[in-house]
Amino acid sequence: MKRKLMGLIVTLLSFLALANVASASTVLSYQPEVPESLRK
Amino acid sequence: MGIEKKLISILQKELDLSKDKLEVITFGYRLFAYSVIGYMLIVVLSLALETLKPTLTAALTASGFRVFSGGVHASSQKKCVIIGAIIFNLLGLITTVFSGYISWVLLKWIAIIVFLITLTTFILYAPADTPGKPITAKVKVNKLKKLSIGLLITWSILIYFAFKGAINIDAQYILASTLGLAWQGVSLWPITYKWIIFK
Repeated sequence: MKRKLMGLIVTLLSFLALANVASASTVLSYQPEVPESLRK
Repeated sequence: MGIEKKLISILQKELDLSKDKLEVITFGYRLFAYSVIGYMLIVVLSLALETLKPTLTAALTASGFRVFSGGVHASSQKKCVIIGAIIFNLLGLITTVFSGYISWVLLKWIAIIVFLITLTTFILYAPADTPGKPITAKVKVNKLKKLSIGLLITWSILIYFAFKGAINIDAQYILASTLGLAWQGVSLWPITYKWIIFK
């Protein structure tokens, strides 16, 4: 159960990261630096 | 950031993630945390000022456009959150104070002028990137520009129907949304990037 929950958190955070890479900017707040692995 | 380090270390231990994957998750967590903190500060301040609905309307309008058109960010997370909270609460306050005195005709003209200025801004400057997320690929620039303009046209159609009475939207929310859009347009101007508050 714990592992499944963590897997879900990882999936959601990865989705957020990828959605941000496809967009121009964050919705409102500070734009953190995009990691090198996502700039490729 | 304590919570960030804790969460990432737990995920790493449990799921044995690669270095690249950890970077992506840390980035995703920061996006989530910064947005939550940003909106929380906006809500808290607007509750104190009793301008929650117009402030959120302005913030959500600007946020929607920002995804495609980008715009200026402050040099640090703290500054960005504080400046965002001040600007959107100021827009909410202006809306609350003045919406009762603005006629439909004047509101219509404000919306038309903001639409035209923002359209010109999007054509010239969208997407406006930041040092943390440069947008260099020509294909992506064109795609985001088209999406920005498309969303702006959708917004203008909604506002047109609201003025026609086909959609029931209170004048206060039209003004708040228009001001949110106006700020979003201004945040793309090259001169805004030079403002001292963002440095």
